[in-house]
Amino acid sequence: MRAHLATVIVCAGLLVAAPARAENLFDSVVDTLSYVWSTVVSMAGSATEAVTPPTPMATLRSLRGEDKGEFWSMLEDAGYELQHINTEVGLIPRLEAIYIFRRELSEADREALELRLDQYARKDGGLIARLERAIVHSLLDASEFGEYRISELKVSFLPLPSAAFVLSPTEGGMDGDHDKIYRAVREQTRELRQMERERAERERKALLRPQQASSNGSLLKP
Amino acid sequence: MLVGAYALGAQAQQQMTAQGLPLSPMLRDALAIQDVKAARPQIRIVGSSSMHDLTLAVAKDVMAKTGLNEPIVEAVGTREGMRLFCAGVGAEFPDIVAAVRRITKSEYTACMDNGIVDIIEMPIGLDAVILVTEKGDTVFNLTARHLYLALAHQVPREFVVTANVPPGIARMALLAYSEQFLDNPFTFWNQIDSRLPAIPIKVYGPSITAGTRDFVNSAIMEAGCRYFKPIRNIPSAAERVRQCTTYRGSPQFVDVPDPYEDNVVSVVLGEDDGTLGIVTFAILEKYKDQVVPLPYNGLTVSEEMIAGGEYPLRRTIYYYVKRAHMLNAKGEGVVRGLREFMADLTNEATIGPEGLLDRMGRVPSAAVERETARRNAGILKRLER
Repeated sequence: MRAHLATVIVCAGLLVAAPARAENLFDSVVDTLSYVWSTVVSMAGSATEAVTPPTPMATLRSLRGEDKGEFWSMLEDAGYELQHINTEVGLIPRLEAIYIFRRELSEADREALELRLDQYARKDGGLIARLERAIVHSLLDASEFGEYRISELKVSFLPLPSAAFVLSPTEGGMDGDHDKIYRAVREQTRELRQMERERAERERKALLRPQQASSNGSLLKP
Repeated sequence: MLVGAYALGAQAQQQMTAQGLPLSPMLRDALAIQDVKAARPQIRIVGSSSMHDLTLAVAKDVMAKTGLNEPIVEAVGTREGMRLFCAGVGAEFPDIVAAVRRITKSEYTACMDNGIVDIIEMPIGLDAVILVTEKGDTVFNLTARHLYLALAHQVPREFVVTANVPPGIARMALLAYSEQFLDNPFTFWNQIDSRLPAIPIKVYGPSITAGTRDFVNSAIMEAGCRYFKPIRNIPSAAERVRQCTTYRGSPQFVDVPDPYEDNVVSVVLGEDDGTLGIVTFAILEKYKDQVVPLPYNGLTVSEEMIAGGEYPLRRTIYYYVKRAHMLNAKGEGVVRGLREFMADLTNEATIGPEGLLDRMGRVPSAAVERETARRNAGILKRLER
């Protein structure tokens, strides 16, 4: 029952608002989770693996350092970098890791990651591991989509496992930071061009000055 | 130019059945065509020089069984072969490409852009890339990381600072604190890893046009550089690939002149201790009395390891066929014989255990994969990439 509830919440957690043009990618994410859901349902009443969320400190330790868990390591191999971690301490603790897209994948990177996913599948067939692999597969699919990519990934293990994807156009509008940088570069370019024009004008005047003096006959002797 | 009527018909069907060539309904229909109007009289195959011997053997087999004209086989390398294959549809373009790696997405896109929308992919067997040295020379275990640090034109500065290098080099690296990468200073294997022997780095490898070089780039060089922080900090995939797969020159890395298969072992023999060659499993089998394989990631290559998938540098070899070049039901098209070639290529006598592929030093893939190749050929399954 807990496994079913966890899966329903994962499905809900993954239903992010996506632009209409990204519906193919969104469909592939939903299809992946539908497959996981049907697999879990088919195991109902038999030896379904219990879903026990890890403790906050254990999850934090698995995110960083040499003890980094397989899933977090694969997220980094998929080109995503940990930006920050939100934690809430209370009766119902909350832990959420936010990853942002940092690095394109080459074909070799993609093949190596797919091989790693296959090896992980052989090593661990549990529900959490399957969900983790589904997330990484979705990221790999998104990287081939062209027009859109998953620019942000929110992974939560507490109170219940879930993942949320933020889709952004590959060539879209700029956010505030990018816009500031763009304006600053444009301003610098304008100033440099102005300086260049002024320098050219000074040189032109310097070239003309001896000619004007000679026509006056005051400075130059024949 | 049309070639006149060229009938195989019932005689060829009898020959092929007698010699165990499976006649799928599609192949039977193809052979039944009596009035053939092909634009070219023989099949044209381009691609890997490593697979040249196998391609010629299959072509000869098809000729003997069906009476088709001798195919034109051009060993131009996998990369060039793909470029020619994807250049267009018509009698002036090749029909088949033999490749030691899968078609890349960019090559597939180029094919689509040039009107080649129906490509049939046939993975027909396995091969592997191995580092060898002359028998009697020092044998040592290498990893992708070792090879990247030994062969790349530039290496991360942070690694040089901590490496087992002479003090002058370490000091130079320390002072160049504004640089992420330095020109490769390593000349001995033990400078990269103190567990490796103190012998000079010298590796003979495939040239830039060879498909094997593409495989070495992705499976060894990119794998070896992937986890260095300065490499991971490069956002652009193209720039990272360029940084990882630009090789240093002689004497540490030397391109073997073509034909690669004939020359690679001869250049290694008689050289200093520690001179390595990058070869395929077929070459190793051919020269196993003269060279020995080095362990890679602690694993020494064997046919069982390649077939079982344990050896990390194993690869699948492919043939790609243009469906648009096949004859239609009216007998019109670019060339006759593509279906027959595919049927012979995916026959168990060719790609099965003890088959032609096995006898030529490659490794047969698993039964289910062989069946997939046969099915793809039988139903002319379109590649989706």
